[in-house]
Amino acid sequence: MTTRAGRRVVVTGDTALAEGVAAGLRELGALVVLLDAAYETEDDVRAAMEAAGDALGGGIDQVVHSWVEAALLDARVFAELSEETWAIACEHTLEVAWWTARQASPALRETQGSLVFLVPTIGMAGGAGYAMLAAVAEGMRVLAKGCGRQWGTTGATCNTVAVAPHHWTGDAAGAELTRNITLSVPAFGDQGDAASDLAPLVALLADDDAHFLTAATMVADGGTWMGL
Amino acid sequence: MSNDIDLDGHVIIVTGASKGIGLGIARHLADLGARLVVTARKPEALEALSAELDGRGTPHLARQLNTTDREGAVALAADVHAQFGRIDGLVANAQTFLSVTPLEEITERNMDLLLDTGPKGTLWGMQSVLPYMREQGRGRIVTMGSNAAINGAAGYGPYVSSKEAIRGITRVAAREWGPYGVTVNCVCPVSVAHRAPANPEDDPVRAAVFAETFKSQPIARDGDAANDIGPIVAFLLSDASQYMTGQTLMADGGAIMRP
Amino acid sequence: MATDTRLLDGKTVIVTGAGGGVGMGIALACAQHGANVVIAARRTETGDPVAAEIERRGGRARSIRCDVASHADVHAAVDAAVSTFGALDVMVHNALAPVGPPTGIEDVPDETFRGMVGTALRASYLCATAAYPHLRANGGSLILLSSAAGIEGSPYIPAYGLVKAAQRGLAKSLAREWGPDGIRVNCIGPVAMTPAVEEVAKTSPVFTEGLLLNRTPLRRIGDPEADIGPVAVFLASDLSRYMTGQTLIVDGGGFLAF
Repeated sequence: MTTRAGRRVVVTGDTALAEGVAAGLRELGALVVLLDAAYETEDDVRAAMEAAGDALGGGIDQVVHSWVEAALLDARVFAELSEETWAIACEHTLEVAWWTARQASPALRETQGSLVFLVPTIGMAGGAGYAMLAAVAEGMRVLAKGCGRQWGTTGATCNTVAVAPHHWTGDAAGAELTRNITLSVPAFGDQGDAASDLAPLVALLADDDAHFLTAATMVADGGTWMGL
Repeated sequence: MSNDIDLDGHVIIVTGASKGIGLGIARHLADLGARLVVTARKPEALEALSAELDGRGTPHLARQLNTTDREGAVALAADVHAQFGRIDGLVANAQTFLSVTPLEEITERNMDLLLDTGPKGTLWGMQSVLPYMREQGRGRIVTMGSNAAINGAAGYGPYVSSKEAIRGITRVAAREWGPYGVTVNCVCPVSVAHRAPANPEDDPVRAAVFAETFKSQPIARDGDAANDIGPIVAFLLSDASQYMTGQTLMADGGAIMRP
Repeated sequence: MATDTRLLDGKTVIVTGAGGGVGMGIALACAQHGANVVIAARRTETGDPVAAEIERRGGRARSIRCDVASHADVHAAVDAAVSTFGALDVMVHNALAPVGPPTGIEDVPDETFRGMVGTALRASYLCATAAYPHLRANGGSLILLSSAAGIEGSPYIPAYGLVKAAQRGLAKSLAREWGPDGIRVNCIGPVAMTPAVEEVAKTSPVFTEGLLLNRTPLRRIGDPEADIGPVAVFLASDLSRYMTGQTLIVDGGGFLAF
């Protein structure tokens, strides 16, 4: 765990969410490498993580994983989903999350660092039209718990930050999904700007103060969903 | 293998049985051949229920009882055991309700009322049946939570406190009484018909609110106390659920899908 | 008036991985309640005897070889149910590849991970989509076997926790999406002594150090037919008509923290 100035962070993902979190972390003093590519094999992930570590000056303090296959961002009628799309979108996204945890593990254990999965709350709440995204979200969240438990004695932590679905699905679909999982308006009235609302929370998870927080899920959607 | 969901002849106490969800549950259990013990606060409603059960030919005992009456619960359990020879199940359903009140206006009296009738009343009922269930080596306790409580419905502070406290007691009891063969589980129902305007034209605004509530849930309707909630309670009273304890079952048409 | 003792009379149920363990327990319990059961096991050597046992007890069953990660096999199982019994009302997906011994995430063999993906993720997709038109026609239900590990994660078999969780996210979403179609989707998280669990029990501290029993108020590991089966019957039957998107943890009270 390190101070925020000069903290070495890898953010994965190619959405506005990933870019926003990266930008927000930079505002807070971190050195950030954004990995926005799609990876075919675990070796690709390993190489990318190594290159990122080198670019950051020889170590990684935090990995923030938000990458999903683009096909997960659109609403789909599940009954009409092809097997190929399921494999490419859902299974592969989970595969990449699995590889990322494995490939980040050595570096983060060395620095007693933080792995954070950024997921939509619909993993816990369910989302009509977004079954693949929900499956992926929940798979990642519980993978994080497994990692957190396994890394317990090493000092490295693994947590999930669950945020509003619109960061993946867009505003209209996000509003519809949210309407179906809450009976009241969000406490804060909106559901989070990546740079100014979510990045600070992500940074917190790599602070020394958070060294005792692991395998946890933080819901940061402005007080929309309270099912946890 | 015997039928798992069979409650024929089971002796089951249902508190707060004279109206609403409790009434629906009592009717469903009567259909399943249970021998019922029904309690309520008000004698008129209780007498009406007793007459109905007579009409069905359901062996039963009706007792006017407030759940806050701890000694009354103990006396009732003794009477039930004396009359029927056993106590198989308890549905701790009775609970006072408080209409919408902002938290900042909640009084100590409001909280006392809800906590006395809810978690404390539930616990007194549970305590009263435990000795008999423990001796039998088998018991089924069903407590009543609320979908609104898990969601933290604004305006329902004391009610939510009560229902979530009940879920807590449910888990502790499951842990402590499991070794005795007593399972304790909680049902969180949605069944508001008894609170909805009987005639939608009488109160169209309220009727509209109720209609809107169910639109966005997978089973897009209110729960029928006897036919939707009753069977879930019956399952938890039966041998079919013998390996489940400490659980919260949502009986709400899929409105809430807990993590 | 006693309860209807046969809750699944006239209904047709497919159970994958029903050649033993929890799948077999569920199949036998469903048959006991009057269901026609299709035993979809990976090997007919294990599936056939279960079907035979159901028939010996007076029920109706058919065994079909089914690799749950295979599109052709899963669709063939659905077709077999419909052609043999006339309809499909309940799809129970239970089959799972070996979870392997306790392992650090970095050391989990690829084959183990692939097995989890194929039999838990691909298979869930296949079972759900193949069954859908029939479930829709009959107001049926889909039941996925998940686990408490799919909620609390597993420090011993992390890939297992991942896929069991993904199945829950899927189930909740399909419950929402298919609710208007009259299809219910629920999960069961069982703890039962099965051949697969016996294997895990040899090396997992959960068993070797009594961690599981210590936290189980009912002080025993479940029996697939007597303890898990009836819960599947409940979810498959009209008793649970007002429940969907739920996970029932059937583990003697071990896991309550959710």
